[in-house]
Amino acid sequence: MRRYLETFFQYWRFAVLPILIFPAAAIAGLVLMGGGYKAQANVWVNQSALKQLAYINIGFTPAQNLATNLSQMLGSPMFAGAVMQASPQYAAIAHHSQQWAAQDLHKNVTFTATGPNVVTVTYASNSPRALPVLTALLRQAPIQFAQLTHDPSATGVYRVVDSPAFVAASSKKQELLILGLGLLAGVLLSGLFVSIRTSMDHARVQLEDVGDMTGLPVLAAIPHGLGLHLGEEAV
Amino acid sequence: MAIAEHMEEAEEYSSPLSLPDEAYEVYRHLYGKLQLHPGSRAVVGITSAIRGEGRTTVALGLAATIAQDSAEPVLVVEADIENPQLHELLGGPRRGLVDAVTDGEPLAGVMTPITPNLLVVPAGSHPENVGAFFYRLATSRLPQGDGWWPAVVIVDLPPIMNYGYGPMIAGIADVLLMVTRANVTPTTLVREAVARLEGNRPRGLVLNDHRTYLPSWISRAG
Ligand SMILES: Nc1ncnc2c1ncn2[C@@H]1O[C@H](COP(=O)(O)OP(=O)(O)OP(=O)(O)O)[C@@H](O)[C@H]1O
Ligand SMILES: [Mg+2]
Repeated sequence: MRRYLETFFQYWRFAVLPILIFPAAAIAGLVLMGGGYKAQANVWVNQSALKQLAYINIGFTPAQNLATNLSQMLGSPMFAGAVMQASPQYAAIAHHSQQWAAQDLHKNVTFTATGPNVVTVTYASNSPRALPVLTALLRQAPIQFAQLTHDPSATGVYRVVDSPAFVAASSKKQELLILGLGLLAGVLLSGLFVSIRTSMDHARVQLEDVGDMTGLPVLAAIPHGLGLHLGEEAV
Repeated sequence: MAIAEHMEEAEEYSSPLSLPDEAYEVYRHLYGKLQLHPGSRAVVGITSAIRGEGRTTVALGLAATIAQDSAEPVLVVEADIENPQLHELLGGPRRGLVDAVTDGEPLAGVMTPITPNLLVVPAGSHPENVGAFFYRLATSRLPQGDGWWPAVVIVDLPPIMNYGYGPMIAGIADVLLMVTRANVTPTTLVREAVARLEGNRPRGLVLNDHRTYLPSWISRAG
């Protein structure tokens, strides 16, 4: 143990490096990627208007049924076109490609029934424009429903109760985990360095074991710095 | 007659060999462990496995300490003739061990004092045949002659692993010390050197250039 400590303190610059670098890299990674931006909103389902929609399963809660119908709409280029029309910023990002927009929405928008009548809508994006896009999406969806069902009352299928807002992209727990893993990796690497270095030095005589190794008593240990310098003293 | 000359000469020498106080204490401790009987006129040999381990440092340090603390003259003999260092103390080449042994003279003729109680015999001329010189030294031992001889003689021996005659020359010492350099000398070589000295077992080891990197709060904790 003492030898490992000796090595650690002798080469502390190197030994400490991984312990600093790995968590630093983890922090840098969290800051850089950071999970991007995530906009989130909650809508409240209007049960009577819901009946008009295409995919209704009576065993499901109103929220679950709404989520299903909204999800079905996501892949549609027509809907994507409507969202782009409502949000010029989004159209710019999508380079006016309905195909791209439909794919993007399909991939990054999720509808989750978070209560019997509440659907949470999130849009994960690496752009701060996630907010207006989600707003446009929530405005366009009822209009699409009305068009699909030829029933104007379908525009009232939900109302937005919590308008789109940014939420933390990754949870504190996750961040701590990544940081912890970085620290662990750093400590392991440092330990590896110290143990390899120690086994390398083990081949050189040291106070701790030279006596046992030679079977001779160690009569004195002359400290470092007490060497003679004959050449210089003679002049 | 010789000793009177030496002591007179000693007055002329400034002391080129001053050790830090710390060093005196270390060598006092080492001297104590040697348990030399007063008046035994023991020859203390300082050897090591390989070069550069600090034989000359220890030989002179120990000699300077005994010379300062006891009233008795102490002699350092440089038997490491292929890498002479002591002439530096004397300001240039001098006749030394090689000359005395080759010419069959007593050592007293080539002793030079460097401080009042401390005399040195440098290696002297380089011999034509190092092997032959070492053989002669090992078999005839230090030429004491019939005259004066110091109370303590410390011999700066050649390193064991560098010379086939290394262990044999170490035989001229009554008490053998093996210097080894911490964190530098390969343990295998020290072990091998000790094995070669079979039959002339060193009294003990002197670990030179020892240092710790632990902060004092850890060292204190044990
Ligand atoms: N305790 C020490 N701390 C720092 N330097 C030291 C120490 N001991 C010796 N040295 C340095 O190491 C070098 C070799 O020391 P020294 O001449 O005493 O060894 P040596 O065994 O006589 O070497 P050589 O085989 O060359 O005769 C010298 O430069 C000396 O100053
Ligand atoms: Mg030397």
